[in-house]
Amino acid sequence: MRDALGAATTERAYGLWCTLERGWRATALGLVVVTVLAALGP
Amino acid sequence: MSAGADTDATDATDAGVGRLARLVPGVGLLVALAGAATLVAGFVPGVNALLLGVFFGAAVANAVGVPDWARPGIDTQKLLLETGIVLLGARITVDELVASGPVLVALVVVTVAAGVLLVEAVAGRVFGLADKTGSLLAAGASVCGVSAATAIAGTIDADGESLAHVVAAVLLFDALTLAAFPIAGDLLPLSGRQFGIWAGLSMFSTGPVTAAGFAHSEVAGRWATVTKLARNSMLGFVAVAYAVRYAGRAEEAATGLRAVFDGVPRFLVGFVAVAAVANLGLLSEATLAAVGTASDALFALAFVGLGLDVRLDAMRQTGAAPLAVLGVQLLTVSALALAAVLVLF
Repeated sequence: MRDALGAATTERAYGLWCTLERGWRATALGLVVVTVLAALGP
Repeated sequence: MSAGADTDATDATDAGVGRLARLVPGVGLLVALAGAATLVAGFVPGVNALLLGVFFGAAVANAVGVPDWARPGIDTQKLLLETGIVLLGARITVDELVASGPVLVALVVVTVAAGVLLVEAVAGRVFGLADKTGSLLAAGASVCGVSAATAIAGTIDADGESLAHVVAAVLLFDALTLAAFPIAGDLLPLSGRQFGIWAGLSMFSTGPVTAAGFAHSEVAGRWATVTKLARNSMLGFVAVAYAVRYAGRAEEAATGLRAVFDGVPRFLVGFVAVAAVANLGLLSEATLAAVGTASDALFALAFVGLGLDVRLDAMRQTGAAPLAVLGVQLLTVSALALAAVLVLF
């Protein structure tokens, strides 16, 4: 069940990614990087 | 959740993983060349790692060519550049930007308008180019290089051959200015801010502007990028102006606001968001430093990709007239921009 949910989430994220033009992808990637670094950082 | 939905999700995930796997060889090549450039620059005093990365990329592309297996990964270079710019937002000081903002925006508007009008004036009358070719050159040189020329080609329904010539001419100037501006920056008595704004106002494409800025200094890199982003944002206005000029239709003007919005680069949203988060003090110093490092790494990869896209044989096929027009535009605009930057900043 958990795997299926994970796969569905990944599918949705991938589907959304495919619809984005490059500038929005850069925005999304940049925000993910900042969020991850902020979460990992001291 | 049904078994069918599970299967669909798995298929989509597999497709995503497969697509990601195709990027690995090309991105690996970018990493290898960027690493080699950083290594060599560390041993040779006075050599800039970013510019050396561009040179390594161009050398590989023109000596042995880019293998097909590497192409998908190398084609991510613009995404890498734009993501690097989004992260660069963390290093922007909003107070400093607001203080210079009105003057900078006014300078950008005047520079873009002057550049477009100059090219439109000389392309046909002096160099005998067709109207639409002149317009593509005007947009490419004055706004944001190949992206602007391609966008305007769609707006004015220019033919593919004209666009190909303009793109080759713009790319040639991108390579020349990428070599010339850092040298000029060393020779001229300019501060980092002055050099960055000058490069941002004068050079054609975003990648080379960013590379030349950071090759000069960190401060120059930030100002070059901000200035270039302001220039890129003018694309919508220029597109509307050309739509009205060539189509002459009232409805083009009516949909102008939408076209102006469409002309704004989307990664600007991310850049502003990251700058806002950083300036509100929501990120620790360590996180800001890590974001800065990530931005630098993405730029290093993107600049190697920039070099790998340099095709000397394609540039040789460019006609003399488009090159002459771009030369006149570059010399005039960069001279005026230099004078303005020295007086105003």
